[in-house]
Parts: sequence; structure tokens; C-alpha cells
Amino acid sequence: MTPATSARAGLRQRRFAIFTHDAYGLGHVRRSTRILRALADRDPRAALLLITGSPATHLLRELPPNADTLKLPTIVTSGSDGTRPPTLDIGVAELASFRGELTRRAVELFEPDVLLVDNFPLGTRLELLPTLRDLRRTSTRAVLGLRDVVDPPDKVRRDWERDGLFGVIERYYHRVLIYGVPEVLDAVAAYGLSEGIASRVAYCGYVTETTPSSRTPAQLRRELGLGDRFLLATVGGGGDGRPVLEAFLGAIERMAGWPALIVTGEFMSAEDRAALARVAAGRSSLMLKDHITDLPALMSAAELVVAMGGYNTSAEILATGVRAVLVPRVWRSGEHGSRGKTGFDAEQLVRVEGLARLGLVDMVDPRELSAETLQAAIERALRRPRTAAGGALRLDGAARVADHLLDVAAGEKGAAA
Amino acid sequence: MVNTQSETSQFDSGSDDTRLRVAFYSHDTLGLGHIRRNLLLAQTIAEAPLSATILMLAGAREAAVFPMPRRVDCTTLPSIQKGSNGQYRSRRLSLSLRQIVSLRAHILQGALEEFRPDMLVVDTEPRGAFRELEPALSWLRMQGGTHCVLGLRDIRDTALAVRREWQDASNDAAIRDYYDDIWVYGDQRVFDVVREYRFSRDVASKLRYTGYLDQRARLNFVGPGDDGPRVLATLPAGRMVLCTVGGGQDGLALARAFIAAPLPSDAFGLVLAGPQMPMDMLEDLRRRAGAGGSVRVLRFVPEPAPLFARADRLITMGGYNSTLEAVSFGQPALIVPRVKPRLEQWMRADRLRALGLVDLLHPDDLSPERLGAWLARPRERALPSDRLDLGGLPRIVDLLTERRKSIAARAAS
Repeated sequence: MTPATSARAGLRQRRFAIFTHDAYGLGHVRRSTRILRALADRDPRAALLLITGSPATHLLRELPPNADTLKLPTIVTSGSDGTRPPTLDIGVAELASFRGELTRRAVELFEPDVLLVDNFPLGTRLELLPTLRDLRRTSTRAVLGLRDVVDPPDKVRRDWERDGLFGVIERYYHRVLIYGVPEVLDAVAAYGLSEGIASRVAYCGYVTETTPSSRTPAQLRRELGLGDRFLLATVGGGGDGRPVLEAFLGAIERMAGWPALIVTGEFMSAEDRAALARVAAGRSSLMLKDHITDLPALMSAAELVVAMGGYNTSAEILATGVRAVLVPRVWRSGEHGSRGKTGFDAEQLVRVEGLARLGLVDMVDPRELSAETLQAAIERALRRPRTAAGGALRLDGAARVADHLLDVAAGEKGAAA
Repeated sequence: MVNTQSETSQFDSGSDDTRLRVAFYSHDTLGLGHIRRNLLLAQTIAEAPLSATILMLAGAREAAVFPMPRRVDCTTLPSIQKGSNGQYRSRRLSLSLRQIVSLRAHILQGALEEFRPDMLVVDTEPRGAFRELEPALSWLRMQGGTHCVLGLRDIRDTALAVRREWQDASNDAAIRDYYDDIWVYGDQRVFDVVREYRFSRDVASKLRYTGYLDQRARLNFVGPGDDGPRVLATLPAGRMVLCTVGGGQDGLALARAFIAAPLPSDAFGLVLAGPQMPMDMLEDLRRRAGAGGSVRVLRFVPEPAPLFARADRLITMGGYNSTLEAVSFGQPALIVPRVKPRLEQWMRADRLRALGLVDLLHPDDLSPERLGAWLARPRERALPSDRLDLGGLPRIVDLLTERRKSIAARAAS
């Protein structure tokens, strides 16, 4: 089948573009691909363009068939294990303007009905201003998508004030979609959004996978061979997950060797992985894996999950309703080793505190992390019943975001809540 | 002052104008051969003491899956590909060909205007696919300061077909207007492009043979944690027969025949299906290989050089890179080239066969029995050193070193 080639005016083919921040982890890209899939479900004829510097290699397989990418030179400067993704060595300022110009040109010719910008109103390094300025002369409308917790509120207020982002949002963005719920963070109040902006805000709920796995929890437990009740420990990409997994290994040893599956993550350094493998060696009912393909299904099969507090993992925990003990990262990726004040980053802390307040998860403060504190939290959590999936929280974020984008493309103003 | 030492500190200190800026373009509308060839050049240049930083402009997202060294990054464009009816079209976005070409052209121009390379190396098509590079080329020419090189693989098709194509695309004019040099990644003794394709005097005067690109260099760019070494660690002992089908979009027939071929009793087989092989075909291959059989099927290993080095025998399609992999690593190799729509693969493999470097099987003669018979026949390793010029990579580094000197001289004067 050949793609539709007819004039857009005749058949009103929709076009959407998403500009996605390329952090070292995959959270941003994964949210964007889910939103693109939801858009494709609703409008399979739409042309969908993902603009990102993310080097994520599996991207094409996750995108719907009517989506393509423009990959920008990557701008991430530090990875959690100290390595950097490939980067043009032309200086950050020039690289940013390079990315900005590519984006501006792509949007100029692609002429999307809507440009969705992920999490940073002016992009990773303020490179989107030329693009946004151009939009005012075209029919493309800009929509800002924010993670449930962009950063701790005081940091957001400070950064946005410094970079003039409140004004940018006010001037250029038709809607502000939040991939979260006000019960975890009331962004309007917390970031101090003006009335003008607040009227354009819509909470969409968590953007996560809610389709059930093809295998039942019982099947999975049989395949794993860890018995009927096992604990799961996962640390996302794993770049800085070693302290949590070490504490976990200590905790289960004290708990008379509960069966457990530990997933170290694809970005964990070989050194960290080897250290964990040494501790795990010789213990029975303990399985150590680099990565697994169907984490939510495993969560459903597990008795309890120990994890950090990244967006995707947290949302998957909500979606499966599994008991969870979360140890949020409070140091910026790659800076947990020094534990300096400068690298303090409490995004995960804000999220996990919010979820704990709602009684959906238990939290161990990473500054108090030890085998003992983790063991106590696990035992406490195990005494509680499983929650229903998501509790009362919305988990159909991708669908709701897609609906908003279609709505904006159709020329609707304001954010009907 | 050229600084090749500090990396992180320099990265944060703003723009660094001492770097030699090199850009590579490949249209990547069919397979991954173009981007892989460019990437090998980029890796080599990045490792050389040239203090270079390199931008790859690639026509397909798959380019981003290859491991890239420091100071090299890629921009990939929304893709164009050949449809089942033979017509090129937008691969995923529902845009007309004209629309996607102008989108790509606009982005390419922006990228080159911003990056302003000291050198641009364009793979195969002097004007880019569907002339998408033309606005950028003419801008670069107007500005001056960018040395433009056209990189050609040695053989492209029969003389008749190439001459017609060349004329239809008015490549002579493009070369006159846009290019300083033409590099042919080949050996004049194997194929004399000027004579065979009757290139004009103008074109011939800009053209030089770099030599073939020795694919063993790829081993230098493999990290211990990459897929190649990881796969190696899981392989059994014994003789290994490697079957590769390039990007995989038309590799099903060869891979199937290989899986069904009788292997010598002490051997096992490994199939690299390629990232562009459709999933259902891959599943089909995996079913045929079965569990516990003596053939394993892998979807994709971004840098398979360690597997080539490990293999005792090679059965492969005849793309430029695959054929050169066979010749560079030197183990007995059987090439089963594509013969449609171009005769390129057949012609190259046939010349190399005449030099005693590879064996050749016409795809019409492909069968498990024929592959089995070849595998059962004793063959010696064929080391090409004296029969073939494989010095392309160091020679290209030399060319860039000269370039760097003349830029420095210009800056100093």
C-alpha cells in the first residue's frame, strides 16, 4: 500500500510532531512513543514525526508504522556510569543552535498541526526559541507536555524564572498537558503558574502501558522457577542502581533467603554488575539478569517490587498494583558517587513521597538506605494487601494526551478538563 | 594550537574552532551499505591524530544503531525507501515523494549551513537521492571553505546502465559544479572505472583510487561489551560457518538455503539476518533453524567484525561491505550476489573470483545442496595482500592530513 499522497487540504490529513528531550535514560522517549502510538490508534493516516537526539536503538520498532524520526546530534553530556553517548565536539552552545535550526527547518516544512514539546519549554538547551517564534506565523500550535514532576517545585520556579520560561509558556503554548495527577503534585500551585497558564493546564494521568501481558502471573512464576512467592528488584537503566541492589541483597539474606529476581539494567557498569554477581553467587533462589523484556508482567507475578522512583517504573507499579518499596534517587545521574550537595536532585523524591502519601507505595529515604531499613520496609509492605491497579489514579495518560492533541489540531482553544 | 588530549573540559568550554570538521552524507534509501561504509571512514578519521569531529548525515534511522566513537554523531532523516512496486516512496510518513524529498533537503541544508564542514564526503550520488543535497551543495559552493568529495564504490552496474544513469542525472555537471575530488574505494587493477564507464576528462582529472577499505579495521572499533564479543562468548567450539545477508531486506532465500544445507559434522552455522529483514521472515528462519539445531539465527549485530574474524568459512550476499569483509578477513568465502536490479554485486564478485579471492554462486543456482557441496570442498585461506590494494583507510587519512595542513596554512596567512 502506498501512503496517502493526496493534498492535505482535500482529505485533511493530520500531522503531529513531538520534540523529545534526549536524556540518557529512556523515560522521555518511551513516553513520547506511547503518545505516538495512541495518536496512531486514533488516526492511522496521520503523519507523525518524532524529533529527538536520543540514540535509543530500538526506537523504530516501538514507533507506530506511520511515524518516523529526525534524529538530532545528541546533547547529553554525562551518563550515569560516567560514559557519554556519542557527541559532536563543537561546544554545547553551537550544538544547541544546530539542533534548534534543524528542528526549526523540519517543523517549517513538515507543518504539523501540533508540535508537542516534551518537558522543557525551550528544549534541552533553550534551542527551541526560533522554532516557537516561527510558529506564530503558521497554523502549527505548540503544546507543552510535562512529566508529573518536572523537578522539585522550588527548582522549577527558579529555573523557569531564570530562563524566562513562564513568559515562553504564556506566549507560545496553547495547552500544558501534565503526564500525572494533582494528588501527587499540584503543578499549578507548586510551580506558581499564572492564571493565564493555569487555564490551559490539563492533568492527563500517567502515561504507561496498560495492556495485559500475553502470559499470566502463574505462567510467569512457573517459567522463573522461583516458587509461588518471590520479590523483584529493578533499578531502571541501572547506571546508579548498585547501592539499592546491594541493600536488597543484604535485606533478603536477613529475611531467610526469600526467592528473588534482580534486574541490573542495561546501563549498569560491568564493574557494578560483577560486584553484585559476586555477592549473589552461591545463594539459592536468587536470579540476576541484565535486562528483561516484560517488566510489568513480572511485577504482576511478584509479591513485591523494590525499585527506585523513575517515572516509568513508578507508573508500571501503579498499573500492576503490586506492592512496592521505592528508594528514590536523590542525586543526579552519575553524581551519586560523590553525594555532593551540588548533584542533589529530588524529582524522584517528590514523586515517591506523593505516592506514599496516597498509600500506594512505601518509601525508604535513600539517605537512610541500608539492609536493615530496607528489610523493615519490605516486611511492613508485605503485610499489606495488594492495591487495585492504580488505586484511584488515572493510567490512561497516553490516550488522554492524544485526545488533547487531536482536539488542538481541530482548532479547539483552551483545555477542557 | 591543536589539542587532542582534553575532551570533557573542552566539550564544555564553548565552540572549538581548532577541530577539523568533516561531514558524511549517505542517502540510505536501500540497505545499510552506504552508512556502514561511511561509518568505517568516520571511525578511522576520528581515531587518527587529525583532531577531527564528524557529522554523519544519514537517510535512515538505523544509522543510529551503530556504535559511534567519540566526536562522531549522526543526524538521521525521515526515510525514503523502494516500495514493492519498485517505486521510491516515503517509508513511514504519509507524505508524497516530493514532500519528503523537500523536507529532507531542507534539513540537510540546515545541517550543513550550521556545521560548515571543512570537508564533505558524499556517498555515491553526486546530487544526493532525488537531488535532495543540491540546495546544500550550492550553498556550500557559494560560501567556499568546504572541500567537497564524492565517494564512489568501484562498481555500480554494467557500463551501459551506468552511462545512461550518469547522463540522466547530469552527474558530469554536478561534479563540475560541486566537487573538488572523487574518491573511488577500489583498485584500478580490479576495475578501471574511468575506462569502463568512459568518464569524461573533467571527471577523470578529479578522480583517484583510494584502494579498497580493509574491513579488519572494524575490529579496532569494537568494545568488550558490544554485541559481537558477547555473541562470541556464547558460541560452541568447532568450525564456524557464517552466513550474512547484508541489511536483510532480500536475504531470505540465501538464509533459508543455508539453514537447510548439510554442514560438515564438526561445524556449526550462524546466520546474521540483518536489521531490515521483516519480522515474519526472521521468525520463519528461526522456526526452520529450530531449537538445538546446529544453526543459530541472530537478528542483528551492529558490528559483526569479531564474528567474521572467528568464522572459518563465509557464505554471503555480494554487497560492497560484505564482499570486502570476505576478502579482508581472508577465509574461504562463497558469494551469492544479487543480480537484480543491478549487476554490480555479480560483477565485483566475478572480478575477485578471477583473482582467486572468492568463490561465486549465481542466485539461480542457489540450493542447500550447492551450499553443502561448497562447504564439503577443501578450500585454502586466500590472503589478498599482493593481489589487491586494501590500503584505502590509511590513504584517506593521508588525504585528510594534507587537507588539514592546507587549512592551517590558509588560516596562518
